[in-house]
Amino acid sequence: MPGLVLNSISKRYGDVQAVDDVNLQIEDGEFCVIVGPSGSGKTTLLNIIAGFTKPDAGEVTVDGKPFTHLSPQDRNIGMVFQDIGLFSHMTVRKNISFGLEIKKSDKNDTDKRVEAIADRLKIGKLLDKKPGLLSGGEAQRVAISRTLITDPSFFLFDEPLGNLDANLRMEMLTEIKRLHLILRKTFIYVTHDQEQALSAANRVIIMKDGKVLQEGPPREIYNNPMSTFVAEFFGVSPMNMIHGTVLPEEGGSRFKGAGLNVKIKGYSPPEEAEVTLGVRPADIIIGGPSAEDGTGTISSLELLGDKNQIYLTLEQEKTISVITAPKVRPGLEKRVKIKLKDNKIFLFDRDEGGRLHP
Amino acid sequence: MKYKVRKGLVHLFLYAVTASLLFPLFWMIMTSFKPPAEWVTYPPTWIPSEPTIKNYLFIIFGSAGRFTRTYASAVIPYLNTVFVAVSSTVVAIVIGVLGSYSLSRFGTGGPSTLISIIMPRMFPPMAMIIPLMIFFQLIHAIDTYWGLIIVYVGFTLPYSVLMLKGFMDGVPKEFTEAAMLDGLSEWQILYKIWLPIIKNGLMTTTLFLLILNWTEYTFALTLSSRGVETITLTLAKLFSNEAGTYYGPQSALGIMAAIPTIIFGIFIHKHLAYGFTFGALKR
Amino acid sequence: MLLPTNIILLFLIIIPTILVIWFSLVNFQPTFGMSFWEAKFVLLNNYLKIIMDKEFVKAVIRTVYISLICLGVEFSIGLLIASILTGDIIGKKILYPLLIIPIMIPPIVVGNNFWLIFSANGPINQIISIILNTEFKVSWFSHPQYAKIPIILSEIWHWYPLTFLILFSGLVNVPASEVRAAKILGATEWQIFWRIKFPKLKGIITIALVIRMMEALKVFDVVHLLTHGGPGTLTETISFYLFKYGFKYSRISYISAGAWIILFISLLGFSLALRSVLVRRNKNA
Repeated sequence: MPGLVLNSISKRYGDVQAVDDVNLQIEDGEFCVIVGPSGSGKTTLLNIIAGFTKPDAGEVTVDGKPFTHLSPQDRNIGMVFQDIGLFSHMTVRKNISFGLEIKKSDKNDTDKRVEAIADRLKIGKLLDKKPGLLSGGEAQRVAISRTLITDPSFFLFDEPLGNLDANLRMEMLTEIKRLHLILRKTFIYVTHDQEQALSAANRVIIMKDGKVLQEGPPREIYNNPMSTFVAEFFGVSPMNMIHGTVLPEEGGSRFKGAGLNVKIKGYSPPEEAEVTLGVRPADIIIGGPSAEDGTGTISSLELLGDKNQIYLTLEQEKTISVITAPKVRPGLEKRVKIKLKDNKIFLFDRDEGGRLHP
Repeated sequence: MKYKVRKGLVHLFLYAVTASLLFPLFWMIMTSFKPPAEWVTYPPTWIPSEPTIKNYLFIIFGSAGRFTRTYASAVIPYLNTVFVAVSSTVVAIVIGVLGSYSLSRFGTGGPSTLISIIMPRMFPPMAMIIPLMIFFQLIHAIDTYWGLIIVYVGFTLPYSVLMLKGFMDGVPKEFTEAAMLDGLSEWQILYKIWLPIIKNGLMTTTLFLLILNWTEYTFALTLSSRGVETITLTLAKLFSNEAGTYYGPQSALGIMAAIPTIIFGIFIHKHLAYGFTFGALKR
Repeated sequence: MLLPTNIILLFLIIIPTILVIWFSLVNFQPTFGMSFWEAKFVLLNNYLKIIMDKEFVKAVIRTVYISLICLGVEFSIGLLIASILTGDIIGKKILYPLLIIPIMIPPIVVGNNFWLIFSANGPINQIISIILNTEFKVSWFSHPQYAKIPIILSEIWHWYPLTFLILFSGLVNVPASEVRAAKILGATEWQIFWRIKFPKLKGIITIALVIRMMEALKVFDVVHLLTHGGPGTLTETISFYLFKYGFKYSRISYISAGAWIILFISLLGFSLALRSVLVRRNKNA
């Protein structure tokens, strides 16, 4: 049963359409990550959900009830910000208890809850300090604690790890995932970092230029990108994109480009078309019996321990990357034949980037 | 709906408060355009039925024999005031910048230095008048431009240093450190890094000092007479008991005396929004 | 390196200061005809005399009383308009410069203006007559109880822009991130104002109060113009008292001692207030 529903939300700022007719249904308890490059409208969308920005069109409903007209104060949501925003003139303890104090809650009760939350987020010894003395990670923990105390119905995260050190980020993200499992509430998390998105989410929503390009579980985004943008955005090593043409033939079609000549099964365009072929580095095999899709020259070789990253130059100076098992070690400048795994080849429209095949 | 009603009431309240706060100003402007007949009527006239600019002409050109006394034009005192106020403000700011820089950057002296700099301001000027007069007579500074300027600088320097130091304290250390690494000299650091950062505070302090110097009365009264007559003196003469009833020209001169500072203030009013925090809030 | 320029100038102020100290310790009256270095040493005699003078003590109390009232009202007005003006107001850009104007008008002009407004045939009496529905033609400046009012009002009118500007800057510079966080946690505008914005203003409010109090205690221009200390001595402020005895009666030594007493009291009060601000500033640095 969808908890939060966004219906045809649009927002324009001057010349820029920040959010363009977005429709989303977010289920109760989902960890939903909205990801996209800067300027894609994800923060604007989050602000609309939070109530800081009013949409030009469309509505937001929560559990079937209208939500759009409510001020942020009345929405009962928790939000963690990139710039953290701790109250610098109050101690950590007061920061955390703020949400209950303004509701004039019973003091003993509040104190107990503050202690409990501080314990859970491991900031117990920071309670009497002022925010100015905290590190980035500590401050963000306090910010998270602060939102927990009012027991909101769902949580919003606006790029919360952006100001933290790299090594801290993964640790904090794990904490947030753990929190999600314990609380079982809806988390809506905005980031531009695809790595965070893939590791934490059970649902990923990709935005670009104000529109939702694709959404679904991380696995599906990875295995089934609907456009070149999505394909290139995700994955630890970027997908290889090769321009060329596809010609229909018997039993499918043939792709020709950058010296490659690949049989595509199960796809027959009506006529010759300009396309981009996408294939992940891990889905290219060097050598072997059926290596007939093309030849390339080894330009560099990285031995990464558990795998090798090999760069090949094809014709027209196109370089692609291949990931192989450690034992595959062709010499530099050697010419090798490659095979692209049949069911791992994607074809995209050259101009629009939309997916053609599979 | 409730929200809109509340907003409307707030606006109404604000406009009402503003109107009553601006009322004295309104009155002064109206009076300055009133002909003599309407100066003291009962009931008082709010808007002159026969507005005239004769009061302003009187101020600018003076009069001879039209009233019982001859009044010289107020143009020269006006220019005098411009010169004195602007120069003393400039000098006070420059010295203030130097002083506050050394206090803020190098911590020369410590908290007691600051208090001793502020002290002159706490002293009732009244008591300083006679000694100052005697001293000035000794060094032949009575009724001179530089005499008056020095006194003005001396008495506005405390504010200059206090306010500027506050702003300079808010300059982040990283900028200074980076500049030092780049090999900039102390003077360059001040000129190229610190001053642009405290631009708002600088504007605010300048305005504040300008207002103080422009409207200064006590010292102008006692330390100068005919040689360096400032506009406040002219105002005083016009308000004095013999001329007590020239309300029209008084208001006209009042308006003209107020205009330069008002214009400057409006000119920089955008800077004031940060300027008046005295550096107590970090950007 | 940079401070000496400061010192040179203050030197010019220090010499008269020394003179004042000298005066306060001797019995110097120019009317006696002798030059000041020939005056007789009477040490603390002048100080004692002035402390015992009831009029002086009354003037001090009166000045402090007036200053506090002015401060209180200015602060309230300043806070009120500043907090409204930080919100979503139509015409904000015009109102803001307009509201600042009074501080830029020379005090004697302000005084003269209020003279007109509070004169027996002036608009204030007229307005009150309309409200009370009877003829109200009070002569404010010669009224024993009411004479203080035009003085206080003219001071407030002249100085409220200062507190307004200071409070406005403070409010505008409250970090938006904290206000947003407070909103999401459910705080109403009122709560945000008093729990988030106002506490952050404490530092600058202190400075503002100190500066304003320093100036308020020295109020002279409007007193001289409007009431001349009257009726009788009922509106004599410290500065006016010193003026009277210094200029009218030429009792230089007497007022020099008085000035030092005032300075001493002010110094005590202000250094306490400033120290707390300075200490806090250094802690945060």
